[in-house]
Amino acid sequence: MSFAVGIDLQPFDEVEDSLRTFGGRYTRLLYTTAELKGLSTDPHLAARDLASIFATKEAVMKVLAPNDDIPSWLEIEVHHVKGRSASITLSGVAAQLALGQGISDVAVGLGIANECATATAVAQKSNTGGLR
Amino acid sequence: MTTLDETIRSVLKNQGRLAADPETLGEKDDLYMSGLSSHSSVNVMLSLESEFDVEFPVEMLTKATFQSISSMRAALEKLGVKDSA
Repeated sequence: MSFAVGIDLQPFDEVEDSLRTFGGRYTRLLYTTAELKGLSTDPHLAARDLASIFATKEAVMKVLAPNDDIPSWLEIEVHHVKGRSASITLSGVAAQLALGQGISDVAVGLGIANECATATAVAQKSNTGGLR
Repeated sequence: MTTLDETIRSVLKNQGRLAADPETLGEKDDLYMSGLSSHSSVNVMLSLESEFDVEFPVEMLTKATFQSISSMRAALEKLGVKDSA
C-alpha cells in the first residue's frame, strides 16, 4: 500500500484573463455544467472559484499520474469548493486510472496564497482497491 | 506573410506566460521546462484555434502536443494548416 500526493497552484488573474479572452470556449473545455452552476457573473469573482476548481483538477491529475491515456478535465468533477476542502467525482479515463491503481477515494485540501488558489490531493493506493 | 512558427511564437508570447522570450527558444525546446503550465497550454491551444480557424480534437489535447514549437507545428499541419515559409 502506498500514497500518492498531488499539489497545484493556480493564480486568480490567469483564470480571469482566460474568462475575459475566451469566455465560453474556455469554460466548456475545463469545467462541467455542475461546476459552473451558481458562479458569479463577475469574472473577477468567478475566477476565484474557478481557480480553486482548476487547481483541484490538476492536483488530482498528478495523483492519477496518467501516461498514455490522459483524462479530460471534465472527467474530474469538483464539488464543494467554498470551504477548505473539496470532493471529487471521477468518470471515464480518470475513473479507469483510479481503478487500475486501487484508488477508492481522494482527499483534497484547498487554500489561498498570494492571490492564488492552492489544492493538495492525497490518495491511498492499493492493489485490491475499487472505484467510487 | 507570417510563418507558422512566427504565429506560434506570437501566441506563446501572448498566452504562454513563459519565463523566457519565445523568440529565443529553439523549436524543439521543452516549453514545460520554460514555464508553460497546464492552464497556459489551454490558452495557447484556444488562441491557436482562433488564429488558424481549426479545432483540436480531444485526442490531440495532450502534453506532448504543446511540448515544443515543433510539436505544435506538427499538430497544426495534421489539422490541415499550411506553412507559408
